[in-house]
Amino acid sequence: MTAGRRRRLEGAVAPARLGAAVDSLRPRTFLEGYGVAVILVMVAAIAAAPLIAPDPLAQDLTSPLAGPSTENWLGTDNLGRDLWSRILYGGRVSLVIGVFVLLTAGAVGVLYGAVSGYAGGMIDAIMMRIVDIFLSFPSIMLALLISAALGPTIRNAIIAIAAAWWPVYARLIRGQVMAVKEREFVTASRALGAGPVRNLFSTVLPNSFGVMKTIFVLDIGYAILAGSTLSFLGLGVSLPTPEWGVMIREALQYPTHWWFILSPGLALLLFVSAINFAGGIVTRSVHEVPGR
Amino acid sequence: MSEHAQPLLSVRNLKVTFRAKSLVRAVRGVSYDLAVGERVGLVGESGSGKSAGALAVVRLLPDYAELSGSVTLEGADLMAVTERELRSVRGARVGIVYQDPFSSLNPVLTIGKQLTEVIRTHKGIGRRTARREAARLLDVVGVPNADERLADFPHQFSGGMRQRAVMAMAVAPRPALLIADEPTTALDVTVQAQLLDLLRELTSEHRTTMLLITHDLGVVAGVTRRVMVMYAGRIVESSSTEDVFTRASHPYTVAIHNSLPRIDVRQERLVTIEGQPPDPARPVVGCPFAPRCLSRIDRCTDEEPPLMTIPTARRAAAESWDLPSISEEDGDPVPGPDSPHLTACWNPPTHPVEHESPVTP
Repeated sequence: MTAGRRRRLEGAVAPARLGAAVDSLRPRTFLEGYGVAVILVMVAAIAAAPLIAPDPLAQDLTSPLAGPSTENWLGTDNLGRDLWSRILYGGRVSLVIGVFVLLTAGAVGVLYGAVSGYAGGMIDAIMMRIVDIFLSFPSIMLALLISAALGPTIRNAIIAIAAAWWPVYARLIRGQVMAVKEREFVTASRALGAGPVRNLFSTVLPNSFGVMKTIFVLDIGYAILAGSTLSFLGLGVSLPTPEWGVMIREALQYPTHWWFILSPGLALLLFVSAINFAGGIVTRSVHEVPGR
Repeated sequence: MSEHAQPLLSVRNLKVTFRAKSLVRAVRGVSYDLAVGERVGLVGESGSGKSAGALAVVRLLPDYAELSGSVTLEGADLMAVTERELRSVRGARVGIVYQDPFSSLNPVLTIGKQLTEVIRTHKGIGRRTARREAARLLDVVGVPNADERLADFPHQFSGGMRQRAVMAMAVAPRPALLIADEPTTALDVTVQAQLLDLLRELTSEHRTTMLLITHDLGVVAGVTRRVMVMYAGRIVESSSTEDVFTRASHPYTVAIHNSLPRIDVRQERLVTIEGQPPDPARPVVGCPFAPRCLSRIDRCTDEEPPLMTIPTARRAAAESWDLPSISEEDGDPVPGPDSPHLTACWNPPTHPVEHESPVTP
């Protein structure tokens, strides 16, 4: 255990490289800075929700659909629940969905694509036809189908979206692996007696993540959107749980109470666009951090 | 010497064919022996099959390469063993130093990590011990502050340092055979000499056999005891390094010598070998060098010459012997530690070699 962890650290980041990496992660344009700032503020607020917001489930039927006030900063919803609080707690659900979708879809996709690309030939052909089948459905349709079949819980939403997304990563990594495995240091590693497993996981794969990193960061935003979309359509998160998509759906019935629909809509817009703006930094750092 | 009785490596009639649009015959029947502890040069121009032939020894060629012939290393037939068994030969028994140290190291792992991994794979020792051994090896190959530089990534090393690190990895498992595939071509000249010295030291320490592949006769001169010259997928001349320099007996070798720029003669233009090497995708008729050869005779265009001893080659030329009688006279000689000077030429040049600009007839 400890040995394994130490080994990873030893190979991971030397001081000079860390310096270069940190340097390349510094925002350079206004939009990048804005994106990073928005993400940091929102994540901090979401994390500190219990400290700075009341109970998101507490109903106050005496004051439903109240406008913004000193007591309810963003107003209340149709059951008198505090919207500020529901936005923050809803953000937790969205973030969890976003992160876990990426981890699940990423892990499955990378493993699948890496094996397919490295094996090549018939195995690759068969594995990629299966990916084609998945990709032939619009991903939101596929997620809807799976979600409808499994039932509306956060876990199921994650599974549904990940199931629709992993083929994209699989195809991406497969292409990278096929390109990297032709490079000389891979043959050199074979010449030193490395078998296929070690060759794939310690030589080819670590060199195949370049493009993936960028797409991965941008996809956090889209994964959050997809999660909210499912909830909006009534298939993601079940009702009492605050979630941005759920909130937008509830607010649709009260179009005249603008603060109700504006809060979750704006939260979603702010967060996803901030991730997109900040994504440029990752793209640049992938190109700039030395090593071919 | 007793080792000569049992060569370390025995290659017989090795052929490498790439299945491209047409069949590309990169290596067309190469045989040689390497004895324990000797250093041998394999010289030829790009596309002569020298690298393909050497990498074929441990079957490190792409899937579309077809191999035939036999390769025996320390008594084991490498053409017959499984890929899994080959893995214990690669690295452990046969080390390879590649041409370009900028592309033969993994860019995302530290030098120390890569070196330690090699040591641990083949010696099965603990991480700490392996790390110490890695630092020692890096020091042996002449990387200053070896202990600290283990934490560096390849891009933090200069070209020469990288190639030193590659050499450290190649010799770490103490292989019996080291194949150095143009190890100094990508580096500048001052570093070249240092690295060649290093290769010589590393191989003499444990009597490691070295096959030094190069297109540069100068590289071979100080390092190897004998040389095999390849042209169009075959060995066309084999002799001691000294003989190749003073008594070259194949017109191709002579032409290479003539094309070396000279400091003592004023040359308006550099001397080249006219024409192009044959297209390896076409079948060879006659001697493949014939179209570019200045001492070509009629027979050259009809029949490809086998490797012959020099006296046989001369008598065969004078008396027009057919292939079976040549074979009977010579007993199909194979380049090896004790083999005489061999040439594959119907009209071998006489000695001493006259260093003159060839005149196209």
